[in-house]
Amino acid sequence: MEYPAAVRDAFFHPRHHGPLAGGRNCRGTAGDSGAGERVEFEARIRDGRIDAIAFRAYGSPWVIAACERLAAALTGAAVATARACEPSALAAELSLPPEKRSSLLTVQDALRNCLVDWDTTQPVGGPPGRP
Amino acid sequence: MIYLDHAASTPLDPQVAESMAAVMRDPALQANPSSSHAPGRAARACIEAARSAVATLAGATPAGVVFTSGATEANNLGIIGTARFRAVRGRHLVTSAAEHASVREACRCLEREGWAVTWLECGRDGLVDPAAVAAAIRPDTTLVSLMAVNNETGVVQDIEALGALCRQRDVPLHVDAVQAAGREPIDMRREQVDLLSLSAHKFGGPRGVGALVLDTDRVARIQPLYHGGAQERGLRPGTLPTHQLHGMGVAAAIASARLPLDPPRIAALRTRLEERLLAVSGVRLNGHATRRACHIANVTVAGVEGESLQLALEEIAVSAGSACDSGNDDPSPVLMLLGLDREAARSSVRFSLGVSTTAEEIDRAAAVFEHAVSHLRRLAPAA
Repeated sequence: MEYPAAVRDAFFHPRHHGPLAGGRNCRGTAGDSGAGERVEFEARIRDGRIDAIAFRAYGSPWVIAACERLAAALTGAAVATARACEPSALAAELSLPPEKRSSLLTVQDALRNCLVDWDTTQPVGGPPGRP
Repeated sequence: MIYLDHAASTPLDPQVAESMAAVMRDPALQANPSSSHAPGRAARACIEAARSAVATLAGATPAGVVFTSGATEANNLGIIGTARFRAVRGRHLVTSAAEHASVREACRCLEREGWAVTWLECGRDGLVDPAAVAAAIRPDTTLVSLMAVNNETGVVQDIEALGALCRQRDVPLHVDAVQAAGREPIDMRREQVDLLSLSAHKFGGPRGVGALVLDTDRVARIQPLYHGGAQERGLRPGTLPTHQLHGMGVAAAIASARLPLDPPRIAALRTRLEERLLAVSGVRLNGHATRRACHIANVTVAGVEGESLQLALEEIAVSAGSACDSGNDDPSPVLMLLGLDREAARSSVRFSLGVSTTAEEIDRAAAVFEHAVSHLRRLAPAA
């Protein structure tokens, strides 16, 4: 199969793969490697912004590329931005074939679960930046 | 690019290419080989020389060689042609679910036409038990079709035992010997094989030509699939491609002559490769450990997704399964018969070596494999 340059670059040279160093970071996973894909996001959030985010992924090159591009886009972003993030936008950016687009749901679920983990570990009264 | 996909197709032997070019340029060999005039007879003589060389490779007589467009056609002609010809005696076939797609689909075609087919399982080592074949043969069985060497795992079946029991039960045996030719000795008469399929481009010959070889003492006729010409005794009508068949003949002669030399050298290289592959944790060999042809090593890599593994190995031309089955995402049915689940079957790679493979290529391929597995496991979440 031919892969777009953006997919190849993310696959061979990922810059945001985990684990993140230090501290209690929030984590979220989705998928099942027995079914072909499993994604984990780990984020360090400070003052309502994503200070660092990294992924680990078992899946096709498309999944790995989507995780890498999403992590790159969200580094430094507000949590609210991450919460509103719609990974399906990556389908066009990465030229995902139609049969591979459902993989973005796994990526999205892992990101959501990561933010839910952050929500549930914040002090009562809610963290800064939370809507 | 390191080419380790010789089971899918071997590079054209340079000597074969030169001799084919010479035939194509030779003004004396441009006539239709079926024509009775002198130029036609010259082309015909060129083809008959090729027929003899192919017969020698198969351990058969030249009269038994029916040239085809390749092994897919040879398998279809052998199976469907024999079944239809012998239909008055019965409509039951015996084959294995691990056969090449061209055998499986030819049998399924006959199933749709009303034949009964017994699909034999193989063991986790890929071997078909001759006792299971004996048990499957019925009074109305008209053909047994089993491959000599599996195209995905390289597992070698005991054709001699299968031939003996089929002969004892008076049932013709068809053998897809595509992966065996040039790698394993083939002797149709000694092994009591009645029909045998070959493909030129699996032993250094050109793509687009093959043969169904018949034991002429046993299989007097099969029913042709095509009509409209007397070529190949009416069993395969169509103008014979002189240069293609000449190329197949030269490749067959080279393969026969080098049989004592090339397979041991290739086997040593495969052992060298396997030692490196199996030293990586979570890598296991598919198929019988020792009953394998010299050129194939099929491994499953735990903890690595199949499509990503293929891309990570892009520096090496390898295959996830049969090239004839590629183009779909389905895992290899052959590997699943060995007991692998879908993900494990997807995470499998077939390395297949050839006469042009070097030790340097093997060492480089092993290093690429080690790096690829390490890269993907580093990216993967903890289990």
